[in-house]
Amino acid sequence: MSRRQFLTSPLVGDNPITVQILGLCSALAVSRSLRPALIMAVSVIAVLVFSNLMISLLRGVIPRSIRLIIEVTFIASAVIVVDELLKAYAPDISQVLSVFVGLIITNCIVLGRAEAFAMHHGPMDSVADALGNGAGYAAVLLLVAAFRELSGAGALLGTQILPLAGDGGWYPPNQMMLYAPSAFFLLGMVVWGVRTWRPPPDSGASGTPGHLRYQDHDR
Amino acid sequence: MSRDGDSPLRTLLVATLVALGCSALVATAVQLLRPVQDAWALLERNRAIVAAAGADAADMSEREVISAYLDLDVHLVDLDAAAPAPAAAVGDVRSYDHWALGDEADSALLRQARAGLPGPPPYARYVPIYLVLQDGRLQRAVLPFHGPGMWSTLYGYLALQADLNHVASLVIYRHGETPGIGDRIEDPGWLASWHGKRVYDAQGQVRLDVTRSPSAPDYDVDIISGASITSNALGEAIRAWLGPQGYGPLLARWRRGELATELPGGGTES
Repeated sequence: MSRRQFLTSPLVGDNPITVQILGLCSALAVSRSLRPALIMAVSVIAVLVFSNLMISLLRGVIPRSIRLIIEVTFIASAVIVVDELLKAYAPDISQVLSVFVGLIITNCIVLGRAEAFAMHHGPMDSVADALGNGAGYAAVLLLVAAFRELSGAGALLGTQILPLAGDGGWYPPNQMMLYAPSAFFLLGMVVWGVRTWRPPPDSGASGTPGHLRYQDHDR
Repeated sequence: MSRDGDSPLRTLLVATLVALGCSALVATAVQLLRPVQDAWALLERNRAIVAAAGADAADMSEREVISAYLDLDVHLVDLDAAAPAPAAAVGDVRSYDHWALGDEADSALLRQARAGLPGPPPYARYVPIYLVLQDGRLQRAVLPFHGPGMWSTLYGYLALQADLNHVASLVIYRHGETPGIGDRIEDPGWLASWHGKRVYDAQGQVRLDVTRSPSAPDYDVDIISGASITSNALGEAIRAWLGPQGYGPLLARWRRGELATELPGGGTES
């Protein structure tokens, strides 16, 4: 695969959420409205790029026996720095995201890319892979968040788009969209839609989901 | 990635260097960002003070919060002497934070609470209070308080009306209580139920209380069912701070007009 493919294939065809079913936990938790989802997406991309780059640079030096610990050390350090940055420059968003910034450490996309890709590829390819997977995660997260905020509160990025019935408008907001279970339904539909549109390469003719080898890793 | 890479000495060396590098990175980031975070914390504290002073602070911009805060009349009081203290005792009284003793003070407070000792701990001898003035006449007095909640220390501001005997408003500044349970002490409806409650009876005893069965509507605030431990603890903290170990003696002298030369207002009972 070329570097361009490392960047583009995780967007849809090999999307970490819809195809590999990774990183669902935070995608469910922070998708209630668009602004925190946006910050979360940027944070995950930053952590992914940093960890992939560092691990790729050091891949010849890292002893195999402690490679997972070293990968997690880099990821955790990047997450703490991102968390501190948010606390300093976006304290209100930081409060909304609360523990979920810290939980990027356990996001399997990050550790998955470090272990499966950065350990075996050069720094530039690894950064491209990080950007591609980060963007694939961001795309799904923002899609779900935009739908939830629009249907649940009639707004996007906090700006009222649909005038609410309670404030003299015509739109009765769907309260359910503001609760966590709605993210399950929406994410399920996104996964179904994307898999029907672009079946993963190793899924059988019957349409049973492939990539089972990843599924046990999910948190 | 040869087998040689796995010799114990090299493993140890790589692990040490990675740990050192990462900790240096994290420590640098935390050190560099601390001043910015502290500035936010100060802004949030001032927002809480301004809210207790009666402004609709939640939607105010940073500039509005700062300007409303600067409009307040800040005085340093000495709780032991029951009198105003010279502001010079703590340097700049506007940025002085009598809570800044941090975790050490927190644990001192919790120890004291567990031992059943009454009143605020001795480290908070000098406390800043914030007065709302209109044409030089006292409208409200904002008094900081804190006390042990269920899991954490509760910090807040209680504003008294100009008679220094009725609650004007109550604002919770900071707490670490259970989300969805203990944090209901922040519920605007419940906080509004404090408004207009009387603090002291004719003998000067604190009668204001959070109680399960409100019997004296002038003094009693209904407990939050489902968050009774936290809301009761909040009531205890406020009672302790208004009592003889806290603002009690100062407020009594102030109401009697004995502090007329030092503090505006007062003299509401003779």
